[in-house]
Amino acid sequence: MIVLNTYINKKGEVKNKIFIFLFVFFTTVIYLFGLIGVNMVFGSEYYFDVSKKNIQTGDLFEVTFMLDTEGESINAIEGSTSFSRHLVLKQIRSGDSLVGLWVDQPVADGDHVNFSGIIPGGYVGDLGASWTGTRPGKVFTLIFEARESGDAWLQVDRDSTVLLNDGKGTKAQVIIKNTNINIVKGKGSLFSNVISWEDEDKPESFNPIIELFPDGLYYLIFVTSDKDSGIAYYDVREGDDSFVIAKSPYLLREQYLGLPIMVRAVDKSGNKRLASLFPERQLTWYESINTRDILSGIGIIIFFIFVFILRWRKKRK
Amino acid sequence: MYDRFHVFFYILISITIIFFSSGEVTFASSTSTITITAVVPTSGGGGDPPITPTEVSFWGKAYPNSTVTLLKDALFVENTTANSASEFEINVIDLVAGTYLFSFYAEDIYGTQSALVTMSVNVVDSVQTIVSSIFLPPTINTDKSSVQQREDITIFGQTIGYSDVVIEFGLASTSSSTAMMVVADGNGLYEYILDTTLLLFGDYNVKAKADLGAIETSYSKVISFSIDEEEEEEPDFLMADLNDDGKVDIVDFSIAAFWYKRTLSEDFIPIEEKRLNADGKINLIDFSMIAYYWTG
Repeated sequence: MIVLNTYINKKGEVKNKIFIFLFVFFTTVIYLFGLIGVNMVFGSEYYFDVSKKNIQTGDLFEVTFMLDTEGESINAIEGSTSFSRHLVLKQIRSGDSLVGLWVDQPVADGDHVNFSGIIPGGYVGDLGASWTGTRPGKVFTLIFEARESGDAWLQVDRDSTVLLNDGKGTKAQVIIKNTNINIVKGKGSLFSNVISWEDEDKPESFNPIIELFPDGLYYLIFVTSDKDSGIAYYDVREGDDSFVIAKSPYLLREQYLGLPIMVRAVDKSGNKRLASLFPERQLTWYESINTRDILSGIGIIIFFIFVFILRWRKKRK
Repeated sequence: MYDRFHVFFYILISITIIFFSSGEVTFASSTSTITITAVVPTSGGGGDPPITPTEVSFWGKAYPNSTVTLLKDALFVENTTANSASEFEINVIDLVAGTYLFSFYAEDIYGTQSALVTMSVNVVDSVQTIVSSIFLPPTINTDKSSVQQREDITIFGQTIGYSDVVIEFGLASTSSSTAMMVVADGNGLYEYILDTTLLLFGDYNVKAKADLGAIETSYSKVISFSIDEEEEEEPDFLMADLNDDGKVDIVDFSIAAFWYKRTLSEDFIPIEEKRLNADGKINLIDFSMIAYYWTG
């Protein structure tokens, strides 16, 4: 029950002591907070940055999915974004992301884009020479085509998570700002709103390593980045085998570690960076014989047998 | 009517109280601010401007003669040695324009690594970006990880020479802490002998930061010690180091990624229990711990 302690002043007006006290108290506190420069931390904010608001059907345009940590140091993010039927997702660019290592690269799953990744050492915001302090960073960029006119929307899943860089995985408060885009009917000019983008640079150089995992098997570990379009995929070649699409950690087919290994990082523009790893130990002569050598050997033997039989027949005649 | 008016304001103020108490309120401090500048090529006396490579230069302070390591996007790039005045400089060349995650750590004379200082830097094409005023936090260690009450425990580490070191410790189960200040010597070494006579039994967290007058470093790693009734065996491992090689790096990340959303094997369960958050699965919290303890 609220008890209001009232009194009557000299003019006969009814006044409330609690109200006056609280009013004076809070006014003073707010004034003092303003004087000493208080930063109120409300949590990390996920939001979308749309390259242009008025979009015609047929247009291609960029939407950057952003994270503002509001000054908190965070080190892991996970979540999902979704978009309305008015939009067709054409591409996801993750090369210039604030995420250092992706646990799950942002990939499209129907009308959703799921992601999770970490930032070793923590992330507060982007530093740059053309601004002071930090500013929010890109998580990834989505390239859409406007398919239908109407009010298109982009949403962030409510379960999207941000974890603090505190060694305990404490959840940060997350603020979500969804966005609406008005799409009008029109001819649309392809690429009109997409920033010109030429990625001729290879992914960054990298050094794959072989590691014995707790299951007693050898795995190949590799990671690199591409600041433009982002890494599309990796493929691995063991010895003379052909390249196969692979994900780190990659279980080595040849566990005796005798074959040279090549790993290719391919970005979304098709640029490739090759990294090689050579055998850690010298093979014995019989270990170094592979299937192709055996087949070649059998072929040569068959050839000589054939020649021998022909000559033998000739001699008999 | 007048009373209703006051009740309305009372509720409004109550909401304000709840709002303020639920949110985290941090005060602006004098913590070090990294400075970032750009050197843009100019033509000078006419003609085309000289071609400037896309590069980043880092200037900062660690500890006297310490080894400073730079990571780019969480992977090792190079290391350098700080001079006797704790100053270091590292240049990273041949970069493509974009946003990079650069991290630094220093290793003190005892072989202890500092906490990572990580910054996300926007690198512009054909511009030399200079990142200065990087102050690495002190290293911190204790001579024992568990003591019996009345036994002393020594907290020590290294920082910038002659700086004031603020050491804060408190029970892990509470948010309150006690702070002490010691002065580092010319080699940046500091030490504080903590008398545990009046301390309660339990697990304690301790961290430190250096105060250089106008600026402060960020906090060191948080390390733990316990005050026990009986002497306990000291754990001898690094948190999040899943392959036990003394580092937390891409290998540990890959091991965790391997078990992500999978049922853990009998062999891996004790590793997860001891070095991660002991919930019997690998999820984002475990990755967050790996990111926190990252050494590169």
